[in-house]
Amino acid sequence: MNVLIVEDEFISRILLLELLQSYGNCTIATSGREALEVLRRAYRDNDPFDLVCLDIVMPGMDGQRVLLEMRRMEQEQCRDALEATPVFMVTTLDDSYNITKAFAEGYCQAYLTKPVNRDKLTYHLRECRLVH
Amino acid sequence: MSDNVPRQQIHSYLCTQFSLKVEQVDALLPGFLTTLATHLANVEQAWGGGELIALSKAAHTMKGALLNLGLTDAAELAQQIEIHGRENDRAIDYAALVAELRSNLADLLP
Repeated sequence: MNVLIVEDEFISRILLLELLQSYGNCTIATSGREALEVLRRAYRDNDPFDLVCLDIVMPGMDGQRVLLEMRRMEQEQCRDALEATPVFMVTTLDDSYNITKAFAEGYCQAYLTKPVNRDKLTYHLRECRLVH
Repeated sequence: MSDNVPRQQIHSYLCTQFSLKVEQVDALLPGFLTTLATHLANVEQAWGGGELIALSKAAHTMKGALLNLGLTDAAELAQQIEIHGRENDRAIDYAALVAELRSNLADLLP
């Protein structure tokens, strides 16, 4: 499994990496803009990620905008819903506005509030059939 | 392992919450605590700059780190700063909150 972790904060990033690297290869982006560059390259190379873990509050472009832009890139590539890359939001924001926006507009697969633990993560990976 | 109880609590929390081995946490913890000190310095600097939105953002960043380290009391303080700062609430004693945050972390930070 190839995972893109988008997280600007060091501790959160390292701990998410520790959780996910046992499942596959992890690529790191520390900002929304960097994430979009990485995603653009992946789609261009026809080598999309299997999972994106996306923080919301980041300097510059926030995760909600990244998610919308990512879905737009997928549409441009004529990727339908079945081919859309699963996205887990990983954030401290637990308000209904952000949760609703991520699911309803960004079509994320999971919305995880920090701290994320291994059990929580594994549950959602299994729900998305990314792991057995 | 030192006699620092708060550090031991974080160590135990990380092992449990993230299923990390003792030696993994031993390797990660010093860098985490240095990062935490940097986050606190950023909060203090933002407060010194007088811009509540910047203070709110710095507090939000720190809150995420604190939650991941199991430091829920400190995270609550950071959240208060974040929320009130975002609402541009000038009635709040941010100096006291920031000082309390530093005091709460005093036993941990290098």
